[in-house]
Amino acid sequence: MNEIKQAIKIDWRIYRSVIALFLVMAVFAYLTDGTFLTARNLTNLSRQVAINGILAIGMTYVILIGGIDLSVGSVVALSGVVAGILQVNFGMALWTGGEAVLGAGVSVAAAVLTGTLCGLFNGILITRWRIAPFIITLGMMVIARGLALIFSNGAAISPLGDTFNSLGESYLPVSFSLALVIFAALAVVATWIRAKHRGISQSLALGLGLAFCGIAFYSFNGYRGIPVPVLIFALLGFFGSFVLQRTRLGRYVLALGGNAEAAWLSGVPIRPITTGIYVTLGALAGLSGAILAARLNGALPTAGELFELDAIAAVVIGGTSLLGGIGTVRGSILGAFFMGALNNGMSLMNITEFYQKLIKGVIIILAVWFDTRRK
Amino acid sequence: MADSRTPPAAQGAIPLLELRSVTKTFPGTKALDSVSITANGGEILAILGENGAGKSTLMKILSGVWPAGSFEGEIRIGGSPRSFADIRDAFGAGIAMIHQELAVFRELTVAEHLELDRLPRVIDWPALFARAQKFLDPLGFGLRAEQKVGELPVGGRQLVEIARALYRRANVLVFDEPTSALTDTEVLRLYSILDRLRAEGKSILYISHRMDEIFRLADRMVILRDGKCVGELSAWDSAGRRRARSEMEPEIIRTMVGRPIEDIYPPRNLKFGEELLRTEKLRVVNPRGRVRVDGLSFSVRRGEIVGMAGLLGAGRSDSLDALFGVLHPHGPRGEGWEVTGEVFVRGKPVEIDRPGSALGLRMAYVSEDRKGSGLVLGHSIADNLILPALSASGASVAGSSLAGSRGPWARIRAPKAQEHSSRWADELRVKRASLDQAVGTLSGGNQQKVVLGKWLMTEPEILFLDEPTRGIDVGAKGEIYQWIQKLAAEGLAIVMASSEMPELLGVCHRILVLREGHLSAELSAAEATQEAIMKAASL
Repeated sequence: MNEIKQAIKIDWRIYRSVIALFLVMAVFAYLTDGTFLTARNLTNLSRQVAINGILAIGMTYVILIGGIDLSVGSVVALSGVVAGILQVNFGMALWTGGEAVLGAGVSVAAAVLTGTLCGLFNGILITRWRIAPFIITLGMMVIARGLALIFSNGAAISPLGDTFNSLGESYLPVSFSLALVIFAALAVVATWIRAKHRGISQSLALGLGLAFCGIAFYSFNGYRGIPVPVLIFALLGFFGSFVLQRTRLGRYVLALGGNAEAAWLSGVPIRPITTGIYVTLGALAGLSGAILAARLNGALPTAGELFELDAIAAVVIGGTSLLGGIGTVRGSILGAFFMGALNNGMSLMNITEFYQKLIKGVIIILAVWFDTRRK
Repeated sequence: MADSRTPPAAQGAIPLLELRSVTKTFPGTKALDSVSITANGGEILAILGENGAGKSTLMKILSGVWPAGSFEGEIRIGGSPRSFADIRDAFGAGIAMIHQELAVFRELTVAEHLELDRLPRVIDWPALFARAQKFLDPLGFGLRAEQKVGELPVGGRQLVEIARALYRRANVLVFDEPTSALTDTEVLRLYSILDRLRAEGKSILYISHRMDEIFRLADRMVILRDGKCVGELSAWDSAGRRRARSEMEPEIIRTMVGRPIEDIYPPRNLKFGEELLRTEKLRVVNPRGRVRVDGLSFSVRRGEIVGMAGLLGAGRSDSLDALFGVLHPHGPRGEGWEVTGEVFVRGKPVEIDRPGSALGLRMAYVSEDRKGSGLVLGHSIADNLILPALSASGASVAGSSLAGSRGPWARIRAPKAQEHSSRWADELRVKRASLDQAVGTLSGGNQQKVVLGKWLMTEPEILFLDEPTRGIDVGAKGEIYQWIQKLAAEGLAIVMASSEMPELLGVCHRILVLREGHLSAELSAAEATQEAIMKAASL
């Protein structure tokens, strides 16, 4: 009994997000007479989640060091517009064969570079000028939106090339997808077997890991396989989680967020890490922008509005403390799925966007309230 | 000049302010133990005592920070008992604190400060300014009612506080280290104001570490030690003549520090080796341009424990911060600090521009504020223990086994992290439920052991300790002292800054006394006494 209490106490933040996610899925499954749980809808859901989830991974790091980045939504739009301009105005959309692949690659790289530069701007100003990240990134939010509107003349840029669009639209073959899911399930089991101590919390992790693999198997088998954005999201999520939990850099980030002075005194190079984290989130926003443009077959200067709020909400719902120093990437991934399920389910139920906003806002407030109340 | 004054007029039966057997208990300690003090009008009463003697608790009770009911005893004003629910109550009863760190609002005008908690709902600015100026002019402080307080120098802000107290007809003014931030001219002006207030029949309570101020100003002195009132003496003899400083000073110092050195200090290490650390003409200037440390030179040998004594703000912590590279502009609070001077480690000149480079030179620093800069309180014991070793991985066995390579992407070997943190937690006898327990949930003594452990894991050769036993119980103190001697015997060079003189006397081989950033004395263990240190620190 004591062991159960101990285990639940340690991982409570994660379990809380899991419970919230399953709860919202069950509610929508009931309210939509099962439409929510079809393989097709779950596949679409996962692709919607990927774009926000990629931001949430980077946002986790930013919030872990006690910062915030409000500019990601605008940076998504700006990077998409940059990719769109290369595709349309430079004619890359019309290239064929190997050239088309090159064109798509250049467009994506340009989007990522755009995001990186925005992140560098944020990071350098925050560390050099010591102005609150809230203000710097608020400024960047408006600047990037303005640039997106200027570059695009305020209009959508489309159509984009098919090769480029495949970044957002295409799927991995079903057989290959299923092989990947099974590989993931085996990895979960292997982790359990290799664990020195197999207690309640390890068993729970095993169970949850297998449950998620099962849901993935069902969704990707029943429809068209793993969407490319979801694969990118999964790889980045794994990488982000690994860096945070297992590397020296990860320990530095957590220590810096927990107590910057103690971290500094212990030899942690806090300034390059802080800059690097904002740069990374910028690059991820750039990638996200390219994926979003590819999925929409067009770059909108108005795209990505309020994406920063979805990303921040995902991170907070995932159990990361807004004060910094405590949190996980996998929690944020769960949080992103929670936000995605909410958006998707409400759309399925034909709730108008007006009420969607209202409900989402209330749920974000409840989540944060719950987080602060526990302390 | 002091002699030109006359002794306070003979007092009536009822003192202006009276404290009767006030006792204030905090969990584990008695901050004040049945303290009784009387203060008369037309008199400056100095309250003396070492750090932690209970002065600030006393002031907090007087000024209503600790409300009635949170302590035992009685406060009487003009003979009738009063109880204060909060600071406003005490202020209303005529007791005004002139704080050490002035609590002023930079953006508000002088006039607004005068009427701070009784501003009318709608402000008639011309009337407010006229009212204030009419009050200010006769004071002769040179304050203008419309001036924003933030634009005044520190001395001017203090005058605003004094003016505010007088405006509200306070009869008891409490000054807490009032000269610590003033220039010499401002100090002289303050003296003349204090003399005037005294002549006008106000009662002044004056707290200061600076002996020359006390002897210049005080009519009477009350001495606190360990929460008790241990002595009282008058600056005037029975014939109404001012007593000589040389006559009073030895008695005061003896009373202030006269506490037996408890036998919790293990025998000192006796083997010294070569010089490990030397610094020449260290100078530290803070962002506001104040010189915190100036021309500090000293050296430490292998096996030697050098103490650093001095009053609050004498430059102990600033020196250690500077030597360890904490004040680099890239650090969280390093912006604007200026550090100059030469440092030699193992005989070679070195550039320590950040804590990371100090770690690389096998230095370690148990800082003064373990919650602020020593530990990540929300993180586990294990995570706290491995952090410095991890960032200086090349320097120690533990460090290099924790991660494969030295770059940021190096993977951490979790079993090694577990093994090393468990070993150090055991060696230092950290009482814990598990290594995953958050450090913030440990007792002060155990937290301090974690701080020591995290630095020892880096296998340092030069160890800085700043207030290594602050706020921990006697048992843990004894363990820390044993560790210090053990480490010295293993050949570490140790610098230990402390405000507890018995601890410095019991542990160190040599004591450097700092006064306002300067090295004012260097005493060997044989010649060091509390009196000698106190004298060098506060002259």
